[in-house]
Amino acid sequence: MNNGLLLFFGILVAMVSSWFGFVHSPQLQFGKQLPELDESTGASFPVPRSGAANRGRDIYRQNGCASCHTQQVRQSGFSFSVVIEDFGTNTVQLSQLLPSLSSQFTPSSPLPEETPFRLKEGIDLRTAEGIVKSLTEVGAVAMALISPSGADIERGWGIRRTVGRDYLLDSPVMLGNQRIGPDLSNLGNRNPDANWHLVHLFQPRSVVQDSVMPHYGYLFEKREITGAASADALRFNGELVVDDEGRQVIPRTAALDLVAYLLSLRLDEPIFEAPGEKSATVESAEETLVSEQSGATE
Amino acid sequence: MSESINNGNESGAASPGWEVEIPVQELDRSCRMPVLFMLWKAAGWLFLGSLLALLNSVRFHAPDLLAHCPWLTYGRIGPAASTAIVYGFALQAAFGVALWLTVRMSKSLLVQPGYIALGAGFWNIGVLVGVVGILAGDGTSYPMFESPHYAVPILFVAYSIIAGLGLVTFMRRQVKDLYVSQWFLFAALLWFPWILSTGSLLLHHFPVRGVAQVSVAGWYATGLLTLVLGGISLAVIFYVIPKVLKRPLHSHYMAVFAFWLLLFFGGGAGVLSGTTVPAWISGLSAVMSFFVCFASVLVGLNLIRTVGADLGRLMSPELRFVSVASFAFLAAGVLNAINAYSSIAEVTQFTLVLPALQQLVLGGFITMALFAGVYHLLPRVTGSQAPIEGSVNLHFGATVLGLGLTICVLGLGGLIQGQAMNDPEIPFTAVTKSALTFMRIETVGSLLLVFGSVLFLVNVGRSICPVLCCGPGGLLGCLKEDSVEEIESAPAAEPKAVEPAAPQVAKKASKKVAAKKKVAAKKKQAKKAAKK
Amino acid sequence: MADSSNQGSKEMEPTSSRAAVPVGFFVALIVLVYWSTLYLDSNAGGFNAKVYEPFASFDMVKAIQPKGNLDPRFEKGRVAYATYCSPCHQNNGGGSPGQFPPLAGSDWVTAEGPNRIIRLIMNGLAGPIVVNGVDWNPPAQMPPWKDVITDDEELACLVTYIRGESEWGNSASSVTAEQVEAIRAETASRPTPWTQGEIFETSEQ
Repeated sequence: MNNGLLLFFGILVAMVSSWFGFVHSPQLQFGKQLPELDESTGASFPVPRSGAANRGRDIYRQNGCASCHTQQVRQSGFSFSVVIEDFGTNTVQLSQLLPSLSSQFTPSSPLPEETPFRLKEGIDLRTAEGIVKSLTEVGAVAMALISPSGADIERGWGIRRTVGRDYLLDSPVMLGNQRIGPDLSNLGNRNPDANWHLVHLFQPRSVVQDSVMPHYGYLFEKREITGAASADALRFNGELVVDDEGRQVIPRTAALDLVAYLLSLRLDEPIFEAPGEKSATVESAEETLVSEQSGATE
Repeated sequence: MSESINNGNESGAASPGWEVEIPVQELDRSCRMPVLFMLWKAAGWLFLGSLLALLNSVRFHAPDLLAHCPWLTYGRIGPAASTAIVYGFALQAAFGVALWLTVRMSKSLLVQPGYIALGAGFWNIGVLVGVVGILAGDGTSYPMFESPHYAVPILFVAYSIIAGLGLVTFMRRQVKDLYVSQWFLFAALLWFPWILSTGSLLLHHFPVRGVAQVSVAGWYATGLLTLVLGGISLAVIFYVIPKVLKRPLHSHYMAVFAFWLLLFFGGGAGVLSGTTVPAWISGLSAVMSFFVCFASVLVGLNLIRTVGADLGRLMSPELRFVSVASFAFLAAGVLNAINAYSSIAEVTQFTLVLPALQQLVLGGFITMALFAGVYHLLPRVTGSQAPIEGSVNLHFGATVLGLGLTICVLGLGGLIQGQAMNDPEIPFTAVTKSALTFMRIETVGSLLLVFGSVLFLVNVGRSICPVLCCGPGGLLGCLKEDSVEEIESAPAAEPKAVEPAAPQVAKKASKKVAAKKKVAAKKKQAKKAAKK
Repeated sequence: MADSSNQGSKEMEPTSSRAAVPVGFFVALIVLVYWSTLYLDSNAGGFNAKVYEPFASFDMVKAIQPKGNLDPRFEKGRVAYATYCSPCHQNNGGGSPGQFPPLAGSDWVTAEGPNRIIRLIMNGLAGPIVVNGVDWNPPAQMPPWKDVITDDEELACLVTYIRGESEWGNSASSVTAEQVEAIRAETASRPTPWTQGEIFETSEQ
């Protein structure tokens, strides 16, 4: 009996230590984390999703989209670049300095017209800081910026790697572990066209020839065309989308919500844990959908 | 080989410390009803799960197959298949085998087999609710923990009944020294409710924030595979090899050493590096994988030394299954450690390598070990003939071929896919295309696995059928009459001398058992007389 | 089955021998533990929740944040400080003990209103001064700067810089050229440096 009791306590210690390592500690680190509020702009990070997008996340879960799509971007490394924001007034000293920093310049070459000007790329932090310092000494305003690198980032799947804070407002967190389809972290920026997504859900191979995604026809209602086509019917490039039997296709709320969710997926903000450069923002992707939805309800 | 330990089994009733030895037939009969019920259901779930997996595999040839029905969409069939296989088949078969092993090694009768069968019934309801829930769109999207929140409490209650009574049986054991299989069984049975309740509470009812969910879900899945299913499978391996070869395990210490390593490091070895968790979680997890790899080598060496020069004898059916399982265990330990290394993970991550490794663990190691356990216990528990050897061999061939094909093809495809994925010049559609060929070949493997699961169902069914239906010692008869056959050695079971040194609890337990048996024996004698 | 015929009461449960674990395994285990600590040291990011691969430590993450200051006035002030002030007050604003009082964290520099510190720079300061409750009696007086820094904007940038340099722990409000211009007009007729007593009589705001 003694034997068994010892065994029991040994197992208990193992269970508790394992639980402490992978359940309790992450909970201590993330459990109380709150979205960050930028006081100057009033924006919070992560950006809360709209009601439709939140409902869409549920559609995403129900249909197991995470079995083929990840929502996590990897980063294999990083380098630095120096960007001159302002050349200052001391142009003489600056023109003497620039040739020693970059081969783009000769002592006689004029200063570039436009700022910000990217002076150097792909250098390490120490070099970048040295250049910034020497530029500051001649009165120019310069920044050392980090450029994340990696295949995922070069594919445009995000400007930086994903970090824990990106998923703060999501439950369940659907990171996915298979990339049979592409990563979706930055889909809202990569393709903000809500209509394209609806067509892609309805007939994947009509927009992506080699797609292996199954169609999600059940998210759409098919209706015989009587007289003129409905105003809510799915159109693509101005043409009415019809099913095999020539019926018009009207997206159900589930489809619209799902697309709202997909468009709310963005990875274009640098964050403390993974600094990067903010990408040029694509004009509010969700707005296209909102207008579409309002069109649908009218 | 050094002196072997006396587990109190070799010298029978004369063994010091214990008053009586219950005959194995009686032990086997005590767990006949619940264990056979579980195995039969498990075989059914395996067939269903394999069929669903095959359906999803075929979809890489025809993406729109059955796509119009939301219940059958790709993203729901996958989790449903994995739930059917993991919860319906693997866990259920593991519980069945674990109960029988507990009874055999504890040398005590199974406590309340009726309630255990009831628990097993609940378990099947839980799995059914889970699978139907997933198909209806209530899956949770956590790998290995996809059952909807309302299915998990059913599973928990069912498990509590099964394992609780199993543990009571274990506590009433009539042996002094614990064999290493018992260590693994005990740990697995304690670990499962711990992770199941944690998962249910922290993922379903009071979900933790953000990526803490990923960590909890990863911990759950790893614990389930490595410690619960893996622990029971290792118990089977450590049980079957020495028993069938009729020689002691090479080293108790090596096995125990591996046990503690697995216990302390196995629970966290699955959160792969590079996923979106802080570096320390993936770093710690990688380190744990290295320790698990170390333990795997230790287990492998121990088994090899046990088998020694008897490699040729591994051709006996259950040993064949067990050797494949042991090999898969060793390979999985090594490959997982390699895969946890950050520069390797960079290539393999998010590719088909992951399902390949999972298939290696779940299919190659766990399922094969459970098959071995099932084929070992079937003739003993049913008290009838073993399944037809040809059919078992066919099952073995189909399964090993199917698994081998699946694992190799997915692994190779995953490597190619990973290489392509890390080259941003290659458009993503081309990346998927490079993997598609392999996913299509994999369908053949899935087909073989379905064929294998049918054979397993047939083999189990054939063994159970005579018991279940009518034959002497049949299950129905068993239910009616408590126990049918008169056992030759029953009189020997009567208490002879109470050993003063025996612990109180054990004494009471065995007294009870003995008293019950006396009554049963008298009843039977009376019946026999009446028949005459 | 191979041994199904053998089943019966004679069937034995498995037993184990007590062969020792090979010593090599213990050696390997020690090596593994040692190597694991090294691995964790370089790959676990100090167990900090804000460190993700490929970054190695929290300090590294801090170091790689976008650098430089986007406020050109602030940078102009930094340059002016480096030119005129840092020889005495040092680059880190710490001053030098017994001679030049510090600017970093100084109650004079980070006062709510900038007027006294602007006056002080304009005409310089002679005699003892109390900074953060510590008595200073500098051997040399602080020279007047109004004839050296004649550009109001430059002086405004300089004061903005010393009041707002976060690396010194200062975070007071910035100063405009108009504020400097007003003080310059007010002090234009004063030829001598201030003393502490005199400057306390003027308004801070």
